[in-house]
Amino acid sequence: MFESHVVRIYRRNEEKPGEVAGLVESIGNEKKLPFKNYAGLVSIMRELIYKDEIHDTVVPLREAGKDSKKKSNAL
Amino acid sequence: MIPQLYLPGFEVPFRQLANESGSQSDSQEYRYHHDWSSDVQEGMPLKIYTMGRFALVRDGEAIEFGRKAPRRALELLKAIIAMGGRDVSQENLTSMLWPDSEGDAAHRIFDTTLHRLRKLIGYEQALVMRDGRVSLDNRNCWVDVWAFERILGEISAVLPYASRKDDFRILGRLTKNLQRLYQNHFLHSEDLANWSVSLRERLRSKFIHQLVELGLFWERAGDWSMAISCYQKGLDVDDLIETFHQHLMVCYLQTGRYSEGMAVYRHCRQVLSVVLGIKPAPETEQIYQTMIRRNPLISTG
Repeated sequence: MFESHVVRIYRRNEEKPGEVAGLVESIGNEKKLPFKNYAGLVSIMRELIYKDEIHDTVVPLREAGKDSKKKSNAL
Repeated sequence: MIPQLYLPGFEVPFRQLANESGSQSDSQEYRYHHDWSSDVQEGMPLKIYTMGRFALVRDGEAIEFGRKAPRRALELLKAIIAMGGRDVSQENLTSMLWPDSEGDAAHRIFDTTLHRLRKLIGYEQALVMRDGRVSLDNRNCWVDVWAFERILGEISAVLPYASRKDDFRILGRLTKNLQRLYQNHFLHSEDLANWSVSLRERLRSKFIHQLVELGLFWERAGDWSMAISCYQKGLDVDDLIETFHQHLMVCYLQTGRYSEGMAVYRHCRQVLSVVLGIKPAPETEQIYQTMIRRNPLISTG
């Protein structure tokens, strides 16, 4: 089964290419996720695409960094 | 030179019709031209509305489904329209609507559902099946999406060359018809399915771009009321599009309707902040400052 997401760009800054504001809409639910730059957009897409893996597997993606830190501290 | 357009169902060229309308009284002219699509609709036994709420009208009466709506049959009809309405592959439809069924089972489901749909519509000839492809017969069906696309085509043919009074009148009518047809997004009140996204987004994008072009045209022509209607409709469709806010503010500025312009600015600022977490663009602020300079009293309002 495939998923559809719509990315709407509402503002682009010609002088600062990294600045872009918009929304990601997931088809099939009412969810609308805002972003203010490309990093935010990538983060949203990563969460949406890998959400099953995030919830089904051990470590949520966002917290992966924290966990590895804990591990290294423990060592 | 404006190209001659032919409308379905009319023997005379579009331009000729427009010129002839000049000799008619206003009410006659309105009745004759008030909606190309409804003119073309005449004699169509079945009308299908998909932009906004989904509705089927047979012989002038809405088909009521009650509590036991034939969901599968209606979904098939919506999917046929979403895929263009003409020469839609049966194979594509079955894999899209019933992905778990394959081979003969998929074929059987399709045949049964098509039979139910034809029964529901009440016009066997409205759906034509040929060489594994299904089409809605445009001699028996009027579909709002088709009418919408037709009007867009008519606008694109007239807009770049519009200079005479007649052209303005035609564009005025087409602007209103376009706004009237696009009640809301394609299958807006339905659960959004993957197969409906493509057409929905295409129509939405075309509508927004056309509204901007028409709005600019009416601004240049000095018809502020028509320009306002375009930008206002644009905001009804999507109030995060700042261009609509900006141009609407300019229109109110030009017509001295400062408090309405201020209301647009406030709405713009609020919606951008709440939904996107951003401030209005410098261009928007500039228009706002101009408004305050012209009428300092409004800034305290």
